[in-house]
Amino acid sequence: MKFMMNHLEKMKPLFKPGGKLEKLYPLFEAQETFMFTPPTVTKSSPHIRDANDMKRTMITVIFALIPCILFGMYNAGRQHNIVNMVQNATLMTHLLQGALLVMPIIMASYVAGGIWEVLFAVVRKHEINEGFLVTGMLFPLTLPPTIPLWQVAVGISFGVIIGKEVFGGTGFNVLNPALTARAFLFFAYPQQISGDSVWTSVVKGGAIMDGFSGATPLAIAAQVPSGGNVIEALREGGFTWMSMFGGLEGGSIGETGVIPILIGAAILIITGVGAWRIMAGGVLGLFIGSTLMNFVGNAQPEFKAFTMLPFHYHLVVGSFLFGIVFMATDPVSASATNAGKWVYGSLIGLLTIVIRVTNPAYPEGVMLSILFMNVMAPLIDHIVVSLHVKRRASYLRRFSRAKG
Amino acid sequence: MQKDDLRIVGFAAVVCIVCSLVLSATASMLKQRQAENVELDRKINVLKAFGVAVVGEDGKKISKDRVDQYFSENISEIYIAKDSGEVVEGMTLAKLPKEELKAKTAVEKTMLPLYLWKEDGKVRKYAFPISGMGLWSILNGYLALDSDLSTIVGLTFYKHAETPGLGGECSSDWFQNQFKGKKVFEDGKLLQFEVAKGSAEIKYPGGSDHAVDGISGATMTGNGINRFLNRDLQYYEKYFSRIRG
Amino acid sequence: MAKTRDILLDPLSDNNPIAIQVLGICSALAVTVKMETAMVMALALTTVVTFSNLIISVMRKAIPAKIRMIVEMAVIASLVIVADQFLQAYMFEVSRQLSVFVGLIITNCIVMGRAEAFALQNPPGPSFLDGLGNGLGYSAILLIVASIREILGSGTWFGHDVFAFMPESFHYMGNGLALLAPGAFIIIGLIIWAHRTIVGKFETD
Repeated sequence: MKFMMNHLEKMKPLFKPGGKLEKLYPLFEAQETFMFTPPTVTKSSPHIRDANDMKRTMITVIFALIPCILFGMYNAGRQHNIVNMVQNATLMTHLLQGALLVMPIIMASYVAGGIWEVLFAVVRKHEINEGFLVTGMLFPLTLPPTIPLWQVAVGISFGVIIGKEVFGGTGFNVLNPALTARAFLFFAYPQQISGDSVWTSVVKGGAIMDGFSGATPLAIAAQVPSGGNVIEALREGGFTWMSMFGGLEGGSIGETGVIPILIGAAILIITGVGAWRIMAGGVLGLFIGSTLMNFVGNAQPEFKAFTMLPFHYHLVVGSFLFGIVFMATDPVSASATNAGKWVYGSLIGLLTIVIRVTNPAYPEGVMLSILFMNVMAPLIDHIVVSLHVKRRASYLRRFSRAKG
Repeated sequence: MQKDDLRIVGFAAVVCIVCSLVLSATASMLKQRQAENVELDRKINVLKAFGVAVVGEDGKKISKDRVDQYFSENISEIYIAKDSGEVVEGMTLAKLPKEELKAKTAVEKTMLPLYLWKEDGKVRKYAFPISGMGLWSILNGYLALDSDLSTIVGLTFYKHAETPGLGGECSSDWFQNQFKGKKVFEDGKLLQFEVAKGSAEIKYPGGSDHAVDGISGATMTGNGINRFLNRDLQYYEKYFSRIRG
Repeated sequence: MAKTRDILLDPLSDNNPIAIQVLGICSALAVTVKMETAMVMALALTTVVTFSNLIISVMRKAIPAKIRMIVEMAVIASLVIVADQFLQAYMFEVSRQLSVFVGLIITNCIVMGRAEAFALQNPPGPSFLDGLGNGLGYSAILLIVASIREILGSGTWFGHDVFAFMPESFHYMGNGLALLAPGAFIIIGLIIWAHRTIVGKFETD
């Protein structure tokens, strides 16, 4: 460690203004702060009011994501092996197969996004933002394992440039860059990110397991005609509540398993990195939304059967938990006030239900609802703060009146 | 003051008169041409359903004369009463009541157009408009049947506003070509024709005469097509059942 | 003489109606999926704004101030309807794709804006040039946006396959976002970004 530090100190003048490699200072800075506590402090949000800094915060998020990454790999590999009828598959072969599917996607995301980060850092002469470590990892986890790698690269480029850099870089972005990237792919190349055939990797021309359709639970639930029973339809499709909780099913890489997401949530909450108010608010909103929909479904049986899906099912189908734990809690694009976090979170939950149930084209609403609430977050904060100011002002008036 | 007001009214009147004169002059001058365009467009869509190549190999569109030649030599248009299935004698597009022209789908119509393709005095093919709701928009198209009144000769969608890349694929060649040769009528009854969810192979291993592959990721558009295609087929079946030998 | 040239050329870049004044965005979003429609729309708008400027400038001393706006509207609306009628008669396919957007030129801020801001104060000659310049400035952006959208979205330009030179096995996959209105919005944003960086114009408070 000492050696590394000395080495870096020796190199420093090269990168300082006037040095030979002045232009590449961001690269040097990234190295230095990654390994040692940097001598500088952040001047803009995300501010951390703690004995902490942004880099460590982001590393914590990466740690919290590890269970999801590993489980995602295992699941992608397992699905692949089952559907393609690979003989004698074990836990290790599942994991290895999954790594073969998932690692290239993560690499593509880091390399393509990293190039843009460095480019903007050099041109704008600021430091490389460590937020990208998280963005570059979150984004692949929201994709199907069959996504073409060039689309990953194009998607993350869009996320970094349009989602973040056009607003001025980390701390100024209105939208969560990883979700912006996913939304881009969702609208730009819908065939590769929607439908039934993308969630499980299938060897072309190979033998396929009998009766395999590749449909996700959400797709099944959304298709049940009015008057039908969604839970029954899910069971026929091979999905029970317990199996969806376990998450060994087709879906985006990181979102299927509930347990790894909960582990991640625990890490984020205990370290104080992720706002528990947003997560709790989200679940509350989901509860309110699904209960309301249940009432609608009861009163109007000819409306969609999907309205009748109970809350605890909504919690485990689709990507809601992954979104509310890792995406909605992004400190830059979320509400910053405590009351605002509750409102922000619960509206995400509520909107997710509304989009899931009533919009026929987009079975998963969590992506769109988080992006929408990202845009609303500053407004929520503004309202919270001005209400607070008003309340304090009225205290003051009462106080001075009592005195006078 | 009053003089000023008079001047304003006078000026406004002059502007109005000049504008309306210009407008009515252009409108009446161009009316004939516009009507011909609408007519030609309709005819080309019908020809497409009948399987006539409307865009040549050189990329040029079929000429107006050629279209008119087809319509005078091969194609005739009749109207069928929706309720009874009888031919409405002497009805033509020009004589059709206004409400009929406004109707967007067959549900709102009382008289349904049917195009007959004749060769050597015999009817070889039938074509009729199909239309209904997809996911976001009303799809408009034509379906053509062979003289057995069961085999599909062609299907086109010429107007829709579905999602590009998903439901919008309904106007692509690969989707429309699969309909050719499929059957809508077998063993004395109308079949429930089906745009499958995903590949038709899953539901009907070995293929089916009355199902085609759906568009991946656009199940709702496919469901819409299923709904109105079968509905419109039923309307026309009232007539077809009369002429089926 | 230099001034006449400025009237014509200024709106092309330095005072572009879309990139600098951010007017006429709605039609720029709606008709730029394909070059063909964008081209026809650009022609229609340029014609309308040029002649509305000319006509209003000719009448500028006679128009009573009280009904100024309404007279302008009447002139513009008539021109737009005439343009629409001609499109329906001679370019039926394109006019159907443009649907209501030709009619909506009436509400296009550029046309009304130029009439109010320029034609009412200036003689017919410069007004004509000003209208032409603004029409061309609008057209320039429209055609750039449409080029990007058609190439990205469908891999074609004026309907011709731009990737035809690539090997047989290469199949360009159209970007669906470029075909949707939000895609046009993003592209216009990027153009404004690039344009202002190059021209060096920034809004100051």
